[in-house]
Amino acid sequence: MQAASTNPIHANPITLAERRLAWLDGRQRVLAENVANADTPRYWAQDLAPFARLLANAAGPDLAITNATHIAPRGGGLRPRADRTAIERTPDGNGVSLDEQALRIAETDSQHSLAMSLHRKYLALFRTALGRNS
Amino acid sequence: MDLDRALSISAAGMAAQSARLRVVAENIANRDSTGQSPGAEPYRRKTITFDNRLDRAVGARMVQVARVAEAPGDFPEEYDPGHPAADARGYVRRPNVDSLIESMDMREAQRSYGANLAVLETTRGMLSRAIEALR
Repeated sequence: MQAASTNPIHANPITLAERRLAWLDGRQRVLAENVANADTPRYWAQDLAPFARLLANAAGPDLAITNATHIAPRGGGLRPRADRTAIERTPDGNGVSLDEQALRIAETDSQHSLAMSLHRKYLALFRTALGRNS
Repeated sequence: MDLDRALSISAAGMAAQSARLRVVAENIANRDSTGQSPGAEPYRRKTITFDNRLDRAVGARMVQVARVAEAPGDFPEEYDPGHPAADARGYVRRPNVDSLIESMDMREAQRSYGANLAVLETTRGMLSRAIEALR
């Protein structure tokens, strides 16, 4: 991807919706892992950093890699982190609350639906401009 | 793709819970399996533990059965001199299976299985919505 398209200030709504969808896909995977591990000893629930923070971090200029020994910046922000805000822990050290995860999954699902509709509507605008009303 | 991985992760979770249910069924079925000869050990209750391990083929961490072990603990004794497994005092050692614990374990396995199934359904909905965008 080019630097211009990864910078959300220059991003058009379609790019933004695509990034949102990628983030939601990643989050759904993390939440599925949490639910699958609801009975695994010493497992902490995980979650991604909020999408708003991901955009804020991406707003700055990208670091240029001018030398082969430079390390590429860790992009994406799709790195799950242990969610230490969990209130309850079972005696075997598991920190997954199923109802909390269910809530987050419902949230992810509705946001995915929203981003998808936005994406489709925006493409329909182009289609209308091209005179293909179908 | 992340959604495909989410499907695999949920499926692995369901498989792990089914394995747990199988162990519970084995325990309940063997509630009365005593030894055959005097002093022989009766059935020992089995326990199952899970672990989250990286599956390289899928590229995600998936829950797996870590170990099926035998539960330690003393066997309760019952006075039954006519039983083939009765010792010199007339006591028979019975399996260390507590049906109350097993039924709670079964409930928990059922609940976790249902939760994984619900996640699977949601992920499937997201996938089909993405596919619909192609139309």
